[in-house]
Amino acid sequence: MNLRAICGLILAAALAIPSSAAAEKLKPFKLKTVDGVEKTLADVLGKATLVVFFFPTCPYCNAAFPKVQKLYDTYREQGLSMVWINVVPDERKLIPEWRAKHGYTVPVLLGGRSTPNEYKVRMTPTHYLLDARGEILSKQDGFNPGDEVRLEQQIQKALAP
Amino acid sequence: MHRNVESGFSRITALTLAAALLALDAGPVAADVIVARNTPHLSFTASISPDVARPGGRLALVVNVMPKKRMHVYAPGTTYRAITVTLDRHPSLKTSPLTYPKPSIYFFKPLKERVLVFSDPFKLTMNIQVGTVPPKAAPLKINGTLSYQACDDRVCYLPESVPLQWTIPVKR
Repeated sequence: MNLRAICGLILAAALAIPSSAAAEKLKPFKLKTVDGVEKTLADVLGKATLVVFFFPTCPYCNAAFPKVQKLYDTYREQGLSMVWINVVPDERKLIPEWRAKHGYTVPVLLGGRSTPNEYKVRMTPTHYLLDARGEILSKQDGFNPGDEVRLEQQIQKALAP
Repeated sequence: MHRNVESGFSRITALTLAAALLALDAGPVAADVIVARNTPHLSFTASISPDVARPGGRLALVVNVMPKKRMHVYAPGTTYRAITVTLDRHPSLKTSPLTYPKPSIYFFKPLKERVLVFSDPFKLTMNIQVGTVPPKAAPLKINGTLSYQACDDRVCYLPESVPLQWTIPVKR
């Protein structure tokens, strides 16, 4: 075996080893909707997916969600999937009325007590934008007016052919 | 107003010091009447006085809360989760509603709404009536929870529930 062949083998082996800089994937979940239907992360993945951790009486969530719902309405046809995951179990009962009151159509899943720790959620809303394989493209904690512009740009980029 | 804040600080400092001294006391501890905690959003002491319970007597729970810089917690009267202290049901105790100081008004810009909050040190109080206590009863163990949701000028943190426990000897 000549030197070139050996170098080729080493290069091929190096490429086969997953890079430590590879994008992190969102931890898979299996959670129920308010209607009791079980959904996994794989079930909700689209071309791009926005996963938002929230609870209904969170002030900044209520400030963000009309704009986030608008992003869902605008980009759904282009492959944007979205799911909101409640992280305060004792507010589950508020969700149906809260959704109806605000006219939200984004699917909601019910997280458990361990959900915040599992997804590094220290504050709400926490947004994860994922690609089609569930890899995390961006994470945004909290919400201030104008953040929806940045989020929209990230969504456009994720949906671009 | 400024004086109230100062006196709030000195009282909290004194209570914290007292709690530390109690913890350091090498002798038998007669009572465990002060709880001091520090969370990412606030610090507080929760004390019950007097340090002995007498059947038919009264106890007073005082919680001194110091929100951290730029933090606020919600007061009753908003649609958000107000800070509260609850005591677990105890056969010998009857609690009165928690009393709050006057909150301040915070303008929540993203929703253009005015909400009732506490962002400076404040005090919550509750009266506790001691009923009948069985003869030779062990010290009263009182359990409770301080619950709140804190926000700053950008995010809201997850609601917190901090467990509390006091041990009060009974004297007849």
